[in-house]
Amino acid sequence: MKNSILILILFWMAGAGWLKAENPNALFAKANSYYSSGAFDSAAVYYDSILHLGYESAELYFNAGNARYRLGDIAAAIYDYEKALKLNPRFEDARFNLQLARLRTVDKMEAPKRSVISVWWRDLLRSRSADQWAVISTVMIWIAFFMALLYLFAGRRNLRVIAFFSSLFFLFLTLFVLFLNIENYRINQNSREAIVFAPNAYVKSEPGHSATDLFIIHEGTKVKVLDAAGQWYRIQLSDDKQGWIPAEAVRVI
Amino acid sequence: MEEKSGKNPQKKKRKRLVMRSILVIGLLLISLGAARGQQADLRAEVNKNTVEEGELLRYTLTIENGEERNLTPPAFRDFQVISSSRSSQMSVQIVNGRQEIKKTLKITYLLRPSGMGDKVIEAAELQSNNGTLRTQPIRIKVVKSGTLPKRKAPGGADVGGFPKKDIFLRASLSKKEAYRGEQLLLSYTLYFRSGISNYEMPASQLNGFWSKEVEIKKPEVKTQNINGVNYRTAVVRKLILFPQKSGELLIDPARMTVDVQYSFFDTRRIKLASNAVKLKVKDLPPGAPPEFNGAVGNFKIESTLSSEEAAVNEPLTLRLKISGTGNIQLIDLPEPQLPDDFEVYDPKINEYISTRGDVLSGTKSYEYLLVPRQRGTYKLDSLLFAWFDPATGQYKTAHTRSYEIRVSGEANKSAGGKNAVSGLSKEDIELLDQDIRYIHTETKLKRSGLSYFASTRYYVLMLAPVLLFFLLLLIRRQKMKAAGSAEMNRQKKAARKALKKLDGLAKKELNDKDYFEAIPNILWDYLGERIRLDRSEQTQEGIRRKFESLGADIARAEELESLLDNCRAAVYAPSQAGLSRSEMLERAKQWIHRFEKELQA
Repeated sequence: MKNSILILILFWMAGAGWLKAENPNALFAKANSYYSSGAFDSAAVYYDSILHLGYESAELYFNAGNARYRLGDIAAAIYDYEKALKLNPRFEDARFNLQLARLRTVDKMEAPKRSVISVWWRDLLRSRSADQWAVISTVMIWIAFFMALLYLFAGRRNLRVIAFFSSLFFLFLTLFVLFLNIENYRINQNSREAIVFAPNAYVKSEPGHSATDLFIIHEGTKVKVLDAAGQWYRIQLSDDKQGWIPAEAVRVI
Repeated sequence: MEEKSGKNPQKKKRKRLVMRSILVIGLLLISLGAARGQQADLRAEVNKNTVEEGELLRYTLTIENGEERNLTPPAFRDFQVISSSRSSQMSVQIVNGRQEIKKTLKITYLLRPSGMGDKVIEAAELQSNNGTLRTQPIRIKVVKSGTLPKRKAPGGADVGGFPKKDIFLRASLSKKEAYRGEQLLLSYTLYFRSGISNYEMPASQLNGFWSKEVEIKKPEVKTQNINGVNYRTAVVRKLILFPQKSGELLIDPARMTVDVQYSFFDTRRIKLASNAVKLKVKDLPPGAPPEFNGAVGNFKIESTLSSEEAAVNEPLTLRLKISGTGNIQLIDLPEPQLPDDFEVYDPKINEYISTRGDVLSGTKSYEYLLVPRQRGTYKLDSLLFAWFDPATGQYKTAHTRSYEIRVSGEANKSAGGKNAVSGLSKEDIELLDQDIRYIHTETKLKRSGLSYFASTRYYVLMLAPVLLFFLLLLIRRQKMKAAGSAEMNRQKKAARKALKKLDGLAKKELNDKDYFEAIPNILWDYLGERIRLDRSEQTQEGIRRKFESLGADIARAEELESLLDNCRAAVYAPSQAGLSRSEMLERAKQWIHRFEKELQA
């Protein structure tokens, strides 16, 4: 009750443009102090307000996830942790907390065995976000550029040889990272992921409530969204099972 | 009193064989001598105690295990013997593993009483190995003709032997044709005219049937007239049968023993066998629905759920009930399909069976205990039950209603809850005691939705070094071009310059020493400009190496060397100098021309 009133007030303030004046960093600090004092519901509302203002960061999602975890809303916590990891795939704390939150979900499924190479390749692609890969490729290409300059204008012969080969090396590295970047971006675009928010949902053989029930999934389970038809998503679980689910049962990350 | 049909036929066969061999042995024993027979017995019977004048009376003497020659029949002083007949019978019985041979001889006399009033049939006597046996004298009352109530002659009853037709057992089925699994009634009716003091249930083997006894507390006695004879009838046994296989089924004759009371003193035990009954059993027609599992009859299915709202771990009761008539005891109820989120315990089964109205009917109920383990909304689909209705000859299907169960509450309050432990890996279990990591207080908030990748800034930063590189390359090339043309010019001018210098040398007033020192210097300058020959390379080897790298003829180097040697000789030893100043100059000029030609080739 207290919670919903607070939300209402915050929305009203946001609507009135009051919050726009508020510094999102100040809101973040405020939310953190609520969290540390144990007022997780208020903290969650403040974290949300920052998102409503149009700001985000891996830490913001992480903290919001913690607040939800403390409130027992595991599906929302998992959603937030996934968001944090999407912004920063190397966020160790988010990965750890996500693992803990997953323990409290109902569906435990084993991913089917895949070849070592494909796992390694996927892990490499996902070890950085698209933006992080972009930064790396930018740095690489500039190093390659300066090496090329050195090659062109260096007086000493030895230096020019070293500069030439390292420029070439960094150029190749740039192209490789660029390829990873595009691949990563493409995968992220093609495979949207979603978290089940409904306590349980029947997965159907085709879109429509009258279709055959295939299996049941529960809140907090991460699914891959393969396709959409009307208000239905075709989803795939980590154990490769597929089916259709009402769109309102899940929230796309 | 349920009998499962179909005993092992092989076993039966073997038993029959044993019986037969025993019978053979028994007959052998009899032929060895009647002296070894059982206890002798003598009985006398009459068919009636009161007769009308002139009416015939039947008197029967039954000798068991005795010889007729040892018999002294009654004198029949008050009677006239019309005829006498004999019938004998031998039977082997096995009692407690010992065989008993019974030889029965019946002598029947047809008597006509002479005169009216009380008459007596004297005692008969039989000498046997255990003394003399005597029957009781029988009193007969002879009344005037027409005083006894007239009975219509029962169809041959008094002709064809008394006990056979006066009492008999009949088996009857309620139907001649039935479907497999359809219920029908088998009843055994006893027809009798004398009083019955006691009887045993008729029994026969029922092969191919599942049966259910209909309890008869007290047989109801009715009267039935058959061919003018009034019989009293009583249904002594009723069985509800369910044929289990199709085809022609035969129900063997049932056997029973009855104690018939002919008079207050005269009770006799009679063995009866019923008729055999045939039944044609039809197979169930094709087209059974998939839910059909053998139920035949007429049924109704119902379900009740204790509540559609539940909390996690709060048990619900689902009751399924089938009621109706038919083989209800033989059928199973459909099993409810529930997701794994429910624990379903084995059902408690209640059965209530009734045979009222000679029809097997009843209810069968399954009570399932359902314990929801997760919150959510779950469907309990309706259950289908199919049966065959023999009355209409069609399959019928009924279903229960479906339910939607809403489970509320928290499945596992803490991460260490019992429910959470299932399906965890080793690493996961280690994680169970841990708590989430604390929030981060430092962050860099960015406008959401802004991605660096695919932004203009990114493209600019990525393309800039490439463009810059090519730009610089272009600039450098331009510069190099300029530098290159300057060099070419210098090279081109070098020969002209050197030739000019040599010509100028001739006009200058110089002594020999200066003159001959100037020529090599002009050549060195020329080579320095023309082929970039360093000062360090102004040696015989340096020149040769340079010329070789330029692809020039070694002959030119040798010529140059000799030219330089000549100049050196003219400076240091003028007396030995072979060439004049002008000749030397000419040779130098000639060499430059030749060298230029070679370089341009």
